[in-house]
Amino acid sequence: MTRIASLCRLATTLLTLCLLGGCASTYQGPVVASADGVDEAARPSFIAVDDPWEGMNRNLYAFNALADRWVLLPVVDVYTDVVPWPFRDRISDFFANIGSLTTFANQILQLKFKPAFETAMRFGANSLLGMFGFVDIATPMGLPRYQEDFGQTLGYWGVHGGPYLVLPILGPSNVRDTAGLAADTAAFAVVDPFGASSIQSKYPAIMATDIVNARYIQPFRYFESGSPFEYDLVRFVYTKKRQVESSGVQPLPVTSERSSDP
Amino acid sequence: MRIAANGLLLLLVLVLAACHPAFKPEAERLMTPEGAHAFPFRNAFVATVVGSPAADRVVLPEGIPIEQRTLPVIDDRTVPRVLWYENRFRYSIAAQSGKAPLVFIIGGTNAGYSNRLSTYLQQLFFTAGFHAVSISSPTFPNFMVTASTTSVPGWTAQDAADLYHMMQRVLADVRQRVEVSDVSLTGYSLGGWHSAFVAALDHQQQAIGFHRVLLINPPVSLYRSSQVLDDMLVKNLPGGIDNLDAFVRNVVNRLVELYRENRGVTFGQDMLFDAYRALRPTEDQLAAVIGAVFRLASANIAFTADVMSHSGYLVPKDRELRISTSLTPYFDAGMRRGFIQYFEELLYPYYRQHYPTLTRQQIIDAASLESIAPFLSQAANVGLVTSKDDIILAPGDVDFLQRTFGDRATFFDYGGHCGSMMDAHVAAAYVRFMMQ
Repeated sequence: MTRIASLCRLATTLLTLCLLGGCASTYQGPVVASADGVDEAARPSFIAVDDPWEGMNRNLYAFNALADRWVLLPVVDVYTDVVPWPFRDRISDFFANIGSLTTFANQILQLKFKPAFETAMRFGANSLLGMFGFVDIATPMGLPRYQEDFGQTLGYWGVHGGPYLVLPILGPSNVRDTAGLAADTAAFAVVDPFGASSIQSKYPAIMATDIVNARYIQPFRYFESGSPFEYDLVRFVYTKKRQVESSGVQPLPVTSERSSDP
Repeated sequence: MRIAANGLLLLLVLVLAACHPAFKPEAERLMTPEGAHAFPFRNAFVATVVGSPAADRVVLPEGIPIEQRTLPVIDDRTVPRVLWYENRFRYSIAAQSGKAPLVFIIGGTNAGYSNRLSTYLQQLFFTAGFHAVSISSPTFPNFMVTASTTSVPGWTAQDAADLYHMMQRVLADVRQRVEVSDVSLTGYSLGGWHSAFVAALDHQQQAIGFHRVLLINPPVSLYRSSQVLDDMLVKNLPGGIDNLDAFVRNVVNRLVELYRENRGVTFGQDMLFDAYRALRPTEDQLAAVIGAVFRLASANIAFTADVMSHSGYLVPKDRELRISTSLTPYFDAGMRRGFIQYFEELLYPYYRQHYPTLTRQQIIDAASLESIAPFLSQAANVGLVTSKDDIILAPGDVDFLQRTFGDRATFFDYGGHCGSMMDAHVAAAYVRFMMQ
């Protein structure tokens, strides 16, 4: 309960911060002292993003890479060794189905009623006919899978992303999306539809599997890009992606994040 | 109730056991693809960017286990703080359970062992029955920091020696765990070019003794191909290099538009193809995109080489970069300089310092397959599969390759640069050469 309360506090604080103008400032271009040795004059670069806490963010990026290497990925490795991939897919489907509740709520908040209806149908079909969500039967039925969160809802109603932020363990974010994440988590815990949250707190194994699955379905690996500018590239891509996702357009349905290519 | 639960559990265990995939070598299937080869794109720029449509690609089993392994940094070198994460040499292996031949795969320009195309070749050769070991290009920062003697890639002799040395270390590591019958080598793009020089070195030193060496879409001359790729960006950017930012913004905006309008583009294997169909980019635009990708690779290489060698090319010699230091200004500066500029202003001065009699022309000449043409035309174990319309080849290069490799070369008419690598018929050519 204390966790939820503190999350709510965090959300309110961040939301206030965000609405009070942190996000209203428009970005003026990089304020870099032209590095000696670099003869070109500093000019607005396409990759630059409003990042006033860059030093802290870069340190956190490094911290996250270490946590990933020494904690998260070893656990995912054990998980992949123990659970064969058809079952891992079932587990991913299960948590995706629970996640569709958050999507549904945010679709309603964004007045996207048809997609919200589709999401509700998905949840119903998968939960009732798809073995409590372990088998995603809605996708073959032609019901698209969407992903919406409260960060996108805030964006939909005109809240800008605000300064870039790297969250411990969770990775790239910005002030608005961090507030959104906190609100989603709190709402899920407070509303607790179908008792999902209380089951999670009663059975820590389920919550642990949720976390392991979340890392498992994310193919990103730190420092495999071949670019020493990976921080800059991730920051750029994250910002662009969220700009699009929260600009009020209908996002494309999500397909599996693990691409099996070919 | 308890019996039922136990029964269920037993069933679950049995199902789990049955689901552990077993992989059988399928070389025969890979070498005899169905249907006739027909690559859909006649335009080499489109081919390079879009690649083979999913329907034409070779079918490989899912869930092939690829394991990442590491080795210590060479010479107990101290890694600069800003590159702190490059503290072990990384490679990966897809290993057969029993004794099998092994193939090394070298990545292209700035490509690491986990690059998309490296992983594809790894899956392909694993399916054909090989232990498939993927090694990063000497132009990949992890290789530059942990395995390269000088950390300044592009000087052929040094790159080949570093690769050859690392392959021997990797081989020793692999042999502790699996049995290896013989060792082959392949690489695509710059990795194909590197393979040729490593094969020549192996011919002299015989420390490994490669059974087969396959060059996939290699450049002939590194200098000429770099010029071609540098020019693609500079000549096709409206307004020149100063408009790079505007160009990238424009490309991103067009992709965003596409996403907004939801014009039949779905994420997945054919996403690029769908995007191409919806956007219909001109050849100039495609060339500029290819040039921009190469420019990013050049910036990555130049920055890493500069930090490692304290050359003062992008970063002032006396500046120590920390983990929290913003690298964005160096990114911007790196993106404004082509690979040729790296060659002229970092690589050449660096090696001239070490070998005072070395001339610029000597480095350029050495960085071409022409410099080892006598070896390549004699080496019965070295083969080539490429496309006649490969955009990184300069005029005369296809003739040179045909002359030098004779019947050990397979040319496909279309495919651009590495665009048809996943095509079932092209994959069959790779496997056939390796299995001979």
